[in-house]
Amino acid sequence: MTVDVDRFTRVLAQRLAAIVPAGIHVEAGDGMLRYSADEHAGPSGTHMRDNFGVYGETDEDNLVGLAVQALDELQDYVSEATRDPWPGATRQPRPRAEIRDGALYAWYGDDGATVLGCAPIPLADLAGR
Amino acid sequence: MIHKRIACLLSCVFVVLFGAAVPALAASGPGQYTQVSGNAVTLDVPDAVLTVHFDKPMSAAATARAESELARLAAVPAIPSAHGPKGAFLYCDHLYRFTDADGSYTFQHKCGGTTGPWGYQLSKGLCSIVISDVHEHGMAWHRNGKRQGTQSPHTKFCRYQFHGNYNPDHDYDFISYSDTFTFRVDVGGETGNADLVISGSFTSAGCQNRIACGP
Repeated sequence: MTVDVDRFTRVLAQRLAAIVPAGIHVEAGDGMLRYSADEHAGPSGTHMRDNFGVYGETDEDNLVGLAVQALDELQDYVSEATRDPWPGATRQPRPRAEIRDGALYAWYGDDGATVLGCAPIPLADLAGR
Repeated sequence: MIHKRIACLLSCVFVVLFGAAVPALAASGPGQYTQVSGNAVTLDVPDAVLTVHFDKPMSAAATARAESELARLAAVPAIPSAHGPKGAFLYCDHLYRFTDADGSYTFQHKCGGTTGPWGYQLSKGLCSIVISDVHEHGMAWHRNGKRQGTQSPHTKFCRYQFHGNYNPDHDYDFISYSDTFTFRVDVGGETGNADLVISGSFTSAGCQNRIACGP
């Protein structure tokens, strides 16, 4: 499979937008995930196009690596914008991602427990034309 | 000390280099700049590079005012004055701070840990000429010679404590980094766009023997 990175960025933006708190926005643009907030924080984001390739030799490695990086940076952004730990109320769970059953799973969690997860992304939806 | 010489050939461009960071215990003088011709300026300093592109060509009087303002900023003593980490051993369980006239870079790594939090704060002196928010492009970095994912960009107020995380960062990993900060400036009444580039490298050293750990 050859991944269309911009398509991956758009799909991941949709998944992340669905789980962030009210007042936080996630969009795709110019090869990046872009984060913004109604209050307390200027814009930020995650470099997707530029970073695809640094997480390993295979597209699967890079999907997982980039998903974890995006979750990590979004977590930092939301926590700073809302001034509260996110997700959860105290200790921040680790960002995680894996590929199984033909889909990319991305979530926050520790010790096998999921605190907050995205809807799985079928790999077939990310294939380049 | 690595010296750089940059000459600006455009009539409306100033290049100013302020002294960059070094380990907290080292001593070094502040950066210096000199105008070499027209509006071209050079400055011999270690690592940080501040480039100012003024909005319009400057008169002799405006140039003099800008020079005076920049000289004032460059003369701000850094405490502790230091050059950026250039291959130094930065030991775990220590907080390192590298300060110059542009700002302060900090780094720490927990012994046996897997990450290396860093921070950068622009100096009060530099922020005194900044008239906009500061856009950080995102920390670009290599680990043991291999490029890693460029970190998040941020847009914040000037004195914000920019920060991020080298992840992964294990004991004895060799880290090299570069980041760029873009903002508007007013230098002696002349406005323009400025880019500040910081860079450095170090070994994120472990500490198997507490006695052998450095400062």
